[in-house]
Amino acid sequence: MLASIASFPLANGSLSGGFGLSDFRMRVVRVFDVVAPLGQADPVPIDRTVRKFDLTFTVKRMHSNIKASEQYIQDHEATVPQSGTVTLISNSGATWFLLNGVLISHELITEIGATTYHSYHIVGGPLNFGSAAYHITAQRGLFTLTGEPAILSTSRSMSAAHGSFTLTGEPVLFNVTFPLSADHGTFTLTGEPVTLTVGFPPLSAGFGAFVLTGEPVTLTLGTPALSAGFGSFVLTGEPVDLRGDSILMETGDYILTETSDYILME
Amino acid sequence: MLVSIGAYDICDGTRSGGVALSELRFTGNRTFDVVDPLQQILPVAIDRTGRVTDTTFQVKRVHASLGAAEDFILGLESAIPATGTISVTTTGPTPVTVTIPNGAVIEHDLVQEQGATTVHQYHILGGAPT
Repeated sequence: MLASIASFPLANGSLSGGFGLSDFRMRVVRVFDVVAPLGQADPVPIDRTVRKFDLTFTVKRMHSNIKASEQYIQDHEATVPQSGTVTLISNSGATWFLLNGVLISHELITEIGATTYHSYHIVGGPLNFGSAAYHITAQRGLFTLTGEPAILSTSRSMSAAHGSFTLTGEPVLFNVTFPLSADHGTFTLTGEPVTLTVGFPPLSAGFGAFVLTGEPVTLTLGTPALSAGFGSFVLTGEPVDLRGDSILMETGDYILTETSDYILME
Repeated sequence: MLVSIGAYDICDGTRSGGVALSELRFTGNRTFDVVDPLQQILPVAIDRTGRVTDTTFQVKRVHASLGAAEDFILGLESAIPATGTISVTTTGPTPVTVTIPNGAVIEHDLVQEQGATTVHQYHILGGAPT
């Protein structure tokens, strides 16, 4: 295993820089509060989610000569960082990062000629795989935002993409000075009568299926003309009175039933 | 003896997962309040019925390679659950399993690594075994 703290290699895989860690020990303490509730047999462990890592290891280095080894020993305190992210690379190449690492002690435990043995003691945590960035994680669950009414006020056009929308609980007030548009989809308005008032420009509807129920429908022709494209139209339930200067009918099938009225064509 | 926490096997009976526990220590703490009533000679022990089990043991594993051993060492903290029900199963022709509710692995410690062999020590707290 190779190790470094900040950008300083503690064991870089070379003979002079430390071929690997030896006597590696890693202690992980999970901070728990263990509570024994009154009148309850089993204790309740409360995980404070804090993880403290305690690492110790030894690095053997073979310097070029005894002078170089002694120089390394003398300079070590000044060169090795006190704190930083500790990078650990396993023999298989996997990289782990110990955040908040602090080198609390280093010790020359053996010097034999040009060979030195240093022991290191590092504390820190948490230990991340593959990334030195902090992670904020949330376990799987349901999250609900409640408490204040939502007011949607905008002076720009508000559009809704294709989908299904359900508004419940509170009346919704849409204040908009620009057209409110909706893409193709299924929309259901419930609970309150719907009043469609048209001024200028005309109220237009694209291709689709429309159902008007519950209230009599009055179609009044004024200006501009109320026009309907090619399709199938069914008027039921109430007598139909068609009046106007001109009634334009495109090619199609028309059925008049149960009437004694007349059609005046000019 | 084999041990698991939740669905995670701390010692599963295999060489790479730990053949058996060693250095097992098992402490049962009974929560009592000892009261010295006024004008009474003998103290009164009030059993709060709380039972805390403190368990420590070691697991020796022989991994497939040095790289696998080091990967296991570094990945253990993220792999082993912090809390869960502890299951302890005895060895023998008719194994018996006891469970420890409200278990928590409060500490795990790599105490030895020799090549592809690792020895980990675990410290577990929980309720009374049932």
